Amino acid sequence: MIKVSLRALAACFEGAVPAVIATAAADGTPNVTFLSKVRCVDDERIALSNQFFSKTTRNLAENPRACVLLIDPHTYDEWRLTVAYERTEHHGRIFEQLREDVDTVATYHHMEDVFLLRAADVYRVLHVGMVRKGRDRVEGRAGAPAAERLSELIARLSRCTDLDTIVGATVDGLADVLGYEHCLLMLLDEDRRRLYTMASRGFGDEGVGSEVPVGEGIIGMAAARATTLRIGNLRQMTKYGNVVRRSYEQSGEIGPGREIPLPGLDEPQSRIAVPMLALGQLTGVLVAESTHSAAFGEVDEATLSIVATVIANAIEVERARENGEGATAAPPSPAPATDASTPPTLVRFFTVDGSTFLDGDYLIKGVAGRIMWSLLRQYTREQRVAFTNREIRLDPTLELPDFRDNLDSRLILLKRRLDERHAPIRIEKTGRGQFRLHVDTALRLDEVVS
Amino acid sequence: MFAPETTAFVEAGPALIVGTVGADGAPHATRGWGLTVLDRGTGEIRLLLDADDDQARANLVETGAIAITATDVPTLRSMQMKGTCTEVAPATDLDMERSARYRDAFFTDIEAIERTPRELPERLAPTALSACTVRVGELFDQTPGPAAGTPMQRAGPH
Repeated sequence: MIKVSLRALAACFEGAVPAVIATAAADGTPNVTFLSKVRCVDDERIALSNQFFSKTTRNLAENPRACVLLIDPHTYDEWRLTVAYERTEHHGRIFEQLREDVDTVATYHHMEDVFLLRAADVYRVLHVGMVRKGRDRVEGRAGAPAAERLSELIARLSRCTDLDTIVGATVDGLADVLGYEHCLLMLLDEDRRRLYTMASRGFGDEGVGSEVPVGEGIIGMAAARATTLRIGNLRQMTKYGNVVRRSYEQSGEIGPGREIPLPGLDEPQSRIAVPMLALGQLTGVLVAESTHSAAFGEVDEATLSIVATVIANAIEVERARENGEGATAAPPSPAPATDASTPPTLVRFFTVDGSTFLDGDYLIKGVAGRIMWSLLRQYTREQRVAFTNREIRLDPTLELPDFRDNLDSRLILLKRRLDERHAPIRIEKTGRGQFRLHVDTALRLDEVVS
Repeated sequence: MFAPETTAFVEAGPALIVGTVGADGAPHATRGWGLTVLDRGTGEIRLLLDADDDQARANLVETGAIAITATDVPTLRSMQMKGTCTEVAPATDLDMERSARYRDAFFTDIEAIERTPRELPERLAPTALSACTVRVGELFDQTPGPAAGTPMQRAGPH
């Protein structure tokens, strides 16, 4: 009979502190090993991943009993579970949940082809007992964001009139209203292959324009699967993944690979990546990080999913509106004179990928880079500073896709990137579908054709 | 049985987890709080356990079967020792001193590597210890990965 609800041990199942499992062979020989993560299935069951057909698995085939030790990462309460093996699953909800855990490690360390979940073993919990009481629980950040605070953030977002303010209000609101001090808003690009950062809060560098390929790392995988991923033990997971990877390398199954430098905190311990979906389509990913282990729980997952859905729909509405009713012509507006005594800013543009540099410093690439180049050429040629989205959209040199060009997103990305770099070139939105270029320097344009 | 390097590894302050089994075949998991190799040749070791863990002690008296996995906190290099417990006795002053040194090394690693405040894992430590003498018969590489469980050393007849 279970005296303590498994739900009460929720933090233990975040994997922040490795669990322990003891089994015994039919001849009575015990086996004891660490587990990277235990999943809570329901009030009476847990599930463990099986990747290696280990001694634990073989023992359970002979003797279905096991004993599991769990630690609450917040209090260090230690619990002992007496469990009985019930069944093995090779598909279904439980299998998919465990597969997410395994795939997260695999994708983080480029072991997707070899580090695979073979089965999900489900155990009935016969008894839960406390081994040792830790410290009293200390309520951290939001913990359980109150409905009022969520309502306040939604209200802020609903008052935004354009994409630029939506993304700014999102990261500011997540930090100021809900307490997610380190967060990131990434949008899906036109090719649906990469995510690019539109805004962030709480990191050393805002990182506007930084990219993550869809399918790579925790963020990329959340996008690829359109599923929220939550990791509460990044240090432990990194260490575990590195060791497993070395083991595969020694066995010759995979060659040495590269590490993906994940954007964010220097030493994150927890990360949650929530897909932003509207009309069944992925728009982007909302990410929050923390230096605390197991910082994000189910309440955070639910809260951020609501916010992500609101943002995704707002962005889609804004895009549809922007695509449908942009202004047709910009009012004539001559460029103001620039200070001729200062040396000109060198703008170097690479046609191959749109990479753009200001005085040797990388600024942006891709569509945003090509937009920048187009604007500056018109500025230097015609002294133009007023533009409309519609005329930009018709510029064939931008190589925009015919469908879902996300031009407004790219313009906002460019604007935010210029602001972040304190560049002498800025973009100011002057009305719906209209914007103005501010250039506070003389320019020298250099196009590198390849 | 225990090469010098192996001895140094298990005595250095790795995480120690312990499996025992009762006469009814039910396994039981607990933690170790210090390990000393008494005889490298025969594989005899002295393992310190929570004196309040009645089930572990009862299992060791009943069946003697024991498995101990030692895991280096920084690298996760792991080794499993399997053998038979020949004696369970109250911890001596020397055992308590050894356990204090072990805990210091273990908690220092956790704090340095996991950034976990030391006072948290310290709460896991028992207040009273019992000492088990174990004759280790087999050693297994338990480092995470596909090779986990590979035998390292099996004791000869003795």
